Amino acid sequence: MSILWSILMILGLAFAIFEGKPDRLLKAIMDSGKETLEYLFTLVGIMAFWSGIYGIIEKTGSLNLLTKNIARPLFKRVFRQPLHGQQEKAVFASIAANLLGLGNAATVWGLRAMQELKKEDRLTPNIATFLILLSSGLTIFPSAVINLRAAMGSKKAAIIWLPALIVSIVCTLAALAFDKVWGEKE
Amino acid sequence: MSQFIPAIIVLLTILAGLKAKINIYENFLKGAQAGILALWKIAPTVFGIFMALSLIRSSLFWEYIIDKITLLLKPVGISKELVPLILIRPFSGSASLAVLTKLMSQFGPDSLLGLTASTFMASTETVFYVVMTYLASVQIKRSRHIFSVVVLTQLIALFSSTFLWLLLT
Repeated sequence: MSILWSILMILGLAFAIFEGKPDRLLKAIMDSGKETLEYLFTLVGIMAFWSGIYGIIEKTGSLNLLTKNIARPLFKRVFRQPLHGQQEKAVFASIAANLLGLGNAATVWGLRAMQELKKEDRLTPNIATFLILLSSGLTIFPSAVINLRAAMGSKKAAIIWLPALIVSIVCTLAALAFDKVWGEKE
Repeated sequence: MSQFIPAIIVLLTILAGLKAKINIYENFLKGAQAGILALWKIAPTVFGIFMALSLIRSSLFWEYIIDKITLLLKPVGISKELVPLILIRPFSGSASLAVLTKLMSQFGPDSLLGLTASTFMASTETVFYVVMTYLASVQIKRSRHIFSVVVLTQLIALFSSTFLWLLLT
């Protein structure tokens, strides 16, 4: 990922120089600084709130039952190393939030799950599988896109629901298969 | 219906907290603090992504790479209009939503292009953003095979949304 960022920066800067527009760097810094702050402002309440709610959920023990019955059998097949109690719960909460389309809660709980999964300063097989699972885009109801389509005057805004579900299931299965094959080698 | 889910989950959580006789507010605050700290940790990554994206998108390279990728994808039935969405989708959710909006206002949400683009958008994630910020939040630097897996997954989403809508329309 660090290579990707470096390539983007090198290309962006080289073109700014060759096109004779070096001021583009300053503009990019200023604009994206502003953009970042705006983004963080909208996110701070959401992060604090959903992370706080997770703080309560964790203590109530209501996740225990759900994790034991739904998540454990599935996780056994998907993850290469067994997940401990806290990890299992955090990963389950994050994936459930993703499936339900709670985009913001999903991010917060996902970061929470990362903290539970992290043992040392390197990428463990379980972290890789977790990130790959999140990145495959599995959602039951993609409300953001469907709402946008409706707002743009679509007659059948929700018509993409089933195709999107099929595509995301195919992607998730493929991603897990790739992870099994390539993750094993390292 | 789906807009009721957050409120219901929060309500159930607080009721469960009452039943379990825990200090609800205190646990909420502890969790909230962890959330704000996590946000603090991902802030530099977000800035880095936004800045690189801004530099690239304002350069001639952007036009150039879109043309090159179009040449590659045209033979398999993917049109030029989809390419900016394909390139931005992995980096930023808000930027790709803006690209999708522009595309749909130009061609209509119910056109073949509009349907394909919305399906691609709905079935994919901001993969580079997710992997970069999540790894940064726990100070992990190497991403090993994750990068290739997420790129391939994104391509599978692109091809299957395209072919699915070619079949359906």
